Amino acid sequence: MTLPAALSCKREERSFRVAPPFVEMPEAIPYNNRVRPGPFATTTPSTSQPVSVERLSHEPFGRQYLINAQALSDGQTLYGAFNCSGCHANGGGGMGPPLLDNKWFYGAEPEQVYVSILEGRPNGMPSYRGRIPDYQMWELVGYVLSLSGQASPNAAAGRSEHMTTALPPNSTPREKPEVVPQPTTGPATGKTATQPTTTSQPRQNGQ
Amino acid sequence: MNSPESVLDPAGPQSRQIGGLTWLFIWTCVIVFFMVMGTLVGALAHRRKDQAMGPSREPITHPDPIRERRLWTTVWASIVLTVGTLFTLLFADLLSGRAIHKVSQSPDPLRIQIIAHQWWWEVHYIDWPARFGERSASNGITTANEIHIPVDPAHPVTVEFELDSHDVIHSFWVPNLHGKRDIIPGHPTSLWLQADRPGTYWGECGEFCGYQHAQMRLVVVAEPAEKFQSWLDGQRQSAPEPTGEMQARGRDVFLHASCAMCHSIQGTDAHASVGPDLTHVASRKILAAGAVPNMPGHLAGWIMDPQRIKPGTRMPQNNLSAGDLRALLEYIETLK
Ligand code: HEC
Ligand code: HEC
Ligand SMILES: [Cu+2]
Repeated sequence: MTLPAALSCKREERSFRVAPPFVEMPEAIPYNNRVRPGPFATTTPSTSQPVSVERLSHEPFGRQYLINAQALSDGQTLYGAFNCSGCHANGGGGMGPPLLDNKWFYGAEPEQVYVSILEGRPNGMPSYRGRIPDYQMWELVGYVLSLSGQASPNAAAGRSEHMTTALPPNSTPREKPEVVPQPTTGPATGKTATQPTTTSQPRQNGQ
Repeated sequence: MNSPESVLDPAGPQSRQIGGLTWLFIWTCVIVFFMVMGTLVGALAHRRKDQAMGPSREPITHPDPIRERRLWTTVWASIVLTVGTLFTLLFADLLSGRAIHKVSQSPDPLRIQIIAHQWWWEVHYIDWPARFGERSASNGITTANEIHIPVDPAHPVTVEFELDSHDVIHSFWVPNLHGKRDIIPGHPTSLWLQADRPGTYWGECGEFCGYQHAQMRLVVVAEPAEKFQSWLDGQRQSAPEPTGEMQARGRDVFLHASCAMCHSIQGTDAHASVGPDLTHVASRKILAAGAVPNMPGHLAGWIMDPQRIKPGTRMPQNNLSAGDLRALLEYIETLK
């Protein structure tokens, strides 16, 4: 009885400050997406040499946020504050594709999601480059991935801030992300025949 | 003029009623306390009569009608006194409630909507008596954490607060002006009050609402009608255009960094409402619901690292370069 109690005290340390890395962001993250190579919407053309996504994972920050509860919950707050929910709802998708499911247009590697947010995506995803500090971008990456169970369940939120029929991030089953082709016309909803797109419908994945 | 934040220092008719009631309860309790203590001391001091011995040195056991009567008189008197006191207090309470209700009636109130957030107060002036200027669709005022109300002995102005919350339960409490009013999300409620003495009255959230509950304060500035009028006129303006290169750069930083996604400044493209409206932030006395006074150093510290000043607050840290920060501060200082 006391042993688990004592052990449960040893959670990761929580602090309200996820030290923001004071690192200048590269002018343009080189785009070399193994999933979907090609042009994307950006106003600042890249001048640097293309590098692989693998290199990006060695950037000084990034994955640490996927295992940090404070970062994920900050990501959740920012997701609402920066109005991601305006287009993606609480993950179920709206004008933007759902983020709760395991279907991705541009890949579910943290670096790929990062690039989605940083540079935007051609069918209506705005670029947040220069708008929000880099560490907040990674917090968002962490939260977005936690929606489909890709973040550490020990760190993911046990409840969301809104009413939703989806499971809370820390009990969402982890499924293998798959990349789906993106529709060429109409709003990019990531909808396939079996795919619910609104939060008002129960999730089908893993149920 | 600063008044102590206290129920016993009323500054309006509502709080005066509540203050009177408080004193009535306090004095009643004091009297009851001394009566109980007096009885106790008396009982300790007097030897119990029924232990008295008769001439035969046998305890007197036969019924004593005088003693019996006295006993019952005492019992009944205590019951009547207790019930009477309770009813008196109840009636005093009801009468104060009615009196508060009566002084609160006004056909032409100053209407202020307050939305409580974790952990700050969003304030909208939605309507005011016509003598303070025409209220049109476009000249409402949005501010935060600081509320100005007029004091006008000739024509007292009643203030109607419409209270709501979008996250958790809060409670609106300015002790010098009125009692608490709990704000339950989704159940808008209202509170009427009046100030009849100019002053700066602190208020706060009176219902635990999370980590920074203690730093969810607000300030009510009750001022003479002319001063209120000029404040109101000032707040109705949009933000001034930046003058000079530095201020223009500051505005650019504001609009292109994350600030504009959470804050609004009337007269610019920033129209978000996650955080307080900053159109006149430089005119306020406090920052972040009383966490720090509004001074340039605190402002800089707040913008770069709010989590150090008010851990857990909903505003994230910012990484701005020194030049950008200086420009931003210079611009924000113009938002009087
Ligand atoms: C104006 C609406 C809009 C807003 C605001 C918005 N998105 Fe998007 N988002 C989209 C659209 C539309 C797409 C699909 C783009 C495409 O298919 O090219 C998208 C795509 C994405 C993707 C890629 C999904 C995939 O399947 O690979 C991610 C991740 C994403 N958004 C996250 C975010 C985050 C995080 C925010 C908030 C910081 C946000 N979005 C704000 C509209 C929006
Ligand atoms: C994610 C949303 C968000 C972002 C981004 C943001 N703020 Fe805030 N800001 C808030 C919130 C919420 C508060 C209220 C905090 C509190 O009192 O607990 C606040 C408070 C403030 C205040 C104090 C206002 C007052 O009247 O007390 C100032 C000044 C301020 N922010 C400036 C900025 C600037 C400058 C930026 C950009 C560098 C910025 N904020 C970015 C959400 C944000
Ligand atoms: Cu509170």
